[in-house]
Amino acid sequence: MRRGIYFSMDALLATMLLVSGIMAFRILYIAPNNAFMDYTSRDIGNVMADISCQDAGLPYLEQLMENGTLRDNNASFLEKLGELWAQNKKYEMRKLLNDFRRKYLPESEFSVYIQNELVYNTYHESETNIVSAKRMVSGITANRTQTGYIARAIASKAVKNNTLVVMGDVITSAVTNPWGWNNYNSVYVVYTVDIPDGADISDAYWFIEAAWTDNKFSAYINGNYIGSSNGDATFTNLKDYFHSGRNYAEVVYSYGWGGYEGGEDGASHIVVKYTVNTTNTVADMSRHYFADVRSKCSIRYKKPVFISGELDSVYVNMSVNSTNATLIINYNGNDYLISKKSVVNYSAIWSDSEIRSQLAGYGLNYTNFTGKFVWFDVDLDTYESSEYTGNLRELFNKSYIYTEQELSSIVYKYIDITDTVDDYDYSEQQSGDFYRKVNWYYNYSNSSIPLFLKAQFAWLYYTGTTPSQVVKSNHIILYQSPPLIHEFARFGHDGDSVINGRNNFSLSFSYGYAVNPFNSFVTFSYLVPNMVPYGATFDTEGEALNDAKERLNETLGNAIEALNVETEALGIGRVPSLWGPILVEVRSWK
Amino acid sequence: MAGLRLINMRDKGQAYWMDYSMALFLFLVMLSIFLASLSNIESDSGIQEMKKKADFVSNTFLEEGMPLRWTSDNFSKIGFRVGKKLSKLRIYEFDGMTYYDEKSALALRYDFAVVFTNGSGAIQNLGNLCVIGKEMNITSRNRIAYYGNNFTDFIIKNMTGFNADIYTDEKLFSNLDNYTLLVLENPDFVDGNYSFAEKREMLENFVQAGNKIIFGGNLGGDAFNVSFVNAFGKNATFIREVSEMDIMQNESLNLSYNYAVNGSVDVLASGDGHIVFARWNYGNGTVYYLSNFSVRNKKKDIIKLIRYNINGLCGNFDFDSIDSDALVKIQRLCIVENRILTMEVYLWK
Repeated sequence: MRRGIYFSMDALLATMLLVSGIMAFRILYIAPNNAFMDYTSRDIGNVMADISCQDAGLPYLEQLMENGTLRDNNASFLEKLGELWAQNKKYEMRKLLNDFRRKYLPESEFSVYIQNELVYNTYHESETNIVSAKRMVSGITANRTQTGYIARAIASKAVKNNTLVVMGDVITSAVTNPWGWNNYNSVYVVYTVDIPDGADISDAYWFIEAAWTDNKFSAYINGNYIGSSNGDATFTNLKDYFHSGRNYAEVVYSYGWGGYEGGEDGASHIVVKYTVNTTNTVADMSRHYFADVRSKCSIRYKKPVFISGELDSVYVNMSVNSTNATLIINYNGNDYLISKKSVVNYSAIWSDSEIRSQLAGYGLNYTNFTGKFVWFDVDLDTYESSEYTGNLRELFNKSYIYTEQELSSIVYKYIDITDTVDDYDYSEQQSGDFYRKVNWYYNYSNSSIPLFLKAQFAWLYYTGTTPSQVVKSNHIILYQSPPLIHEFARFGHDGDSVINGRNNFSLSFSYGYAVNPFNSFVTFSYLVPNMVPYGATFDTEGEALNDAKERLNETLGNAIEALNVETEALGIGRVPSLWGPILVEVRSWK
Repeated sequence: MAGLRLINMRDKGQAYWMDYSMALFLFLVMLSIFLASLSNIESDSGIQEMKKKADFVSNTFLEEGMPLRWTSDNFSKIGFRVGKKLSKLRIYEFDGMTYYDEKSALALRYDFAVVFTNGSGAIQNLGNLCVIGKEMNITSRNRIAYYGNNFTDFIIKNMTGFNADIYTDEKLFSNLDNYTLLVLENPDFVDGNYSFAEKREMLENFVQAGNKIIFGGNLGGDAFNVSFVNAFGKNATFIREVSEMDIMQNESLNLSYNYAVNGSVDVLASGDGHIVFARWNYGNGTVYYLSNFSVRNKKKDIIKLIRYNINGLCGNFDFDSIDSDALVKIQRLCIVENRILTMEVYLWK
């Protein structure tokens, strides 16, 4: 009988192994990632912002209009919600939202927050798979009957600590001939570093990582030699080499002891820390200029562009010296050929309609790109990783990619802050300083508006392996291979997954892929309002002004110091007053 | 390991065979589940691809097209959005294409169908239109009636196409409750069993309740808070954009007219100072007046106006008619003209 028990135990063991195998297989290969498919919160926010009160068809809203609680039937439903919130009429607000849901979305679960205050909830939120969308709204409060003074304050001039980061691109050109020997080519890469006028530079450094670990290189800033090395190097204490205005950072790559190509692997970055008196320094997010590149072999230039908002149009304007040029768009690790063109008068241009229609042929449209890095790969002449030197090929720095996109939040009346994310941990060493699991941590306060997180990675890939790649923001999966992204040099996401408090951005790879957290670079950008709206009503003008200044200082926080504060007090007595802007957030879940 | 033990012990007794049989049975059951799971995973990846496509289709429809007022002949990109809302006219343009062309415009290899539903889940009739894409045999009923004496060919032909009830006598007034839109062509309601005042009161009550009337020619007297006068001319010009018809300001309207309207109205087109085409609200409804339906141009646009104002009923989506084991559905909340509806996109292999 004991042997019989062994048979049964074998069977049970085999059963357990198979069940575990099936579960592991399903988790690894078909992990759910449906966040991108759920538009409920975005649609609700859009519809509430776009539908007029008269078209909303809600009897209770009509009743509020008739009894004078609200006015202006042509205003949007969202504006009237904001107005009720400003009047502290929470019952009316909840009833309207409940009527809206019962009439149009009886099956949906969602909640509405105004200025991070929960004002409506259909049911308890589930802990996972919550999708959020935000809208700004402001307006006029009707029927305010209090008398007294209200005040608002605006920081018309402020000083802020800021960091300029110029992230290098993936640029390669052959430094070996077809036999694998030195072809005596040099690959010149010149980055433009624009520092705001009047900036006071406190620190600067430059990390350079060559395309192949053996490449030799020499670096110059504004024509001044700063050093040479092989593979990679960090040059520090460079603040005296830079000045406000336009700067040039040049690096010249050449053959080392075997690597086929000279150039950069996308991990290089120049960091300049400075303070400047300003209210807004958000860079022009529509034009993305290329670095100046010269080489006597064909050139491959891969430029990542972060699409932070809704993308309306794209075109690529290349100013180059070559026979032909090829444009490929790489998204989520897949290459999509746009076309190969002959260069005429040093110019090759890809129009929006051409790019749009080519992508449509692959089943892609621009909305796929929102909140992600998209790679624009340009080859000057048919690219060879090993070849004899020939004519000089040049890619001029007036070449650019134009992306017409709307920021997901309103920049006006906000001060943008970019912080480097320096708090990280790592585990599962692959080799040297390269690790397979890395977490970055940063704090976010809900008094500001999150813009985006951008990351640049010093990466290591063992060719021939097929490692898994998973990227998460606060446990929300943003990317999961396949396909395997060989050059995992960039990743970014918008503010939708950012939460109040401590945030976690994490990378997780299996054997064969790793990043070096010490030479990687993560930044988080957000907007801080440079004003506070009219607040509570006070008996005297002085009290109202002091309250406005205190609220402004609290809002600006430690990163910004107000130099000039303009205040405005308003005596009120049975007159309408302004409210907002306020942030309305819709969260949905299933 | 279990198999080796079995060979060594096969003569040891029946109890071991029972155990062995049970173990083998369990193993085979689990192996079947494993193989079925593998098959499901392949199927899941296909579904994911379809979901992405459905996602793409819904986003495309909710975006603006290129050009903004594209037609089936000139579009470089389709999209139903115009301003903050989805335009029924853009939906009609898309619906006017062949199913093959619709799929080509969406770069779609799957079959697809799109319906618009209200909060109760009932499919909405967007002007003689219940479904976009694959013909799904969703029954529709348009609550529209036509009354006329001197039929204009292109009008009556399209009224038939819209399944309108056609009247030439006063029976119309007994059945007004069945309709939400009346098209009246040169009605001249003076004669008959009902007096003009009685007919006017019934028509005004009809519009007051939120319904619509499009009429042309001579009504027989003043009504709807406006007056009708004799006025003569041959041409008119649109003095404003008419979104219901895709008409832009300053476009010409070629018609011979004998009547014009006076009163507080939105003037759409005028000729020699006479208002020959107008729109105004009466109670909760809307009235359109055109001096003469027998226009020499803009015939399609007149039909667009009629179709735009059609309301009606649709039957249910018959899922059984879809012969596929892979069906994907995406729902998007949107505004179609002035109504909040849910766009449901279905894709299947």
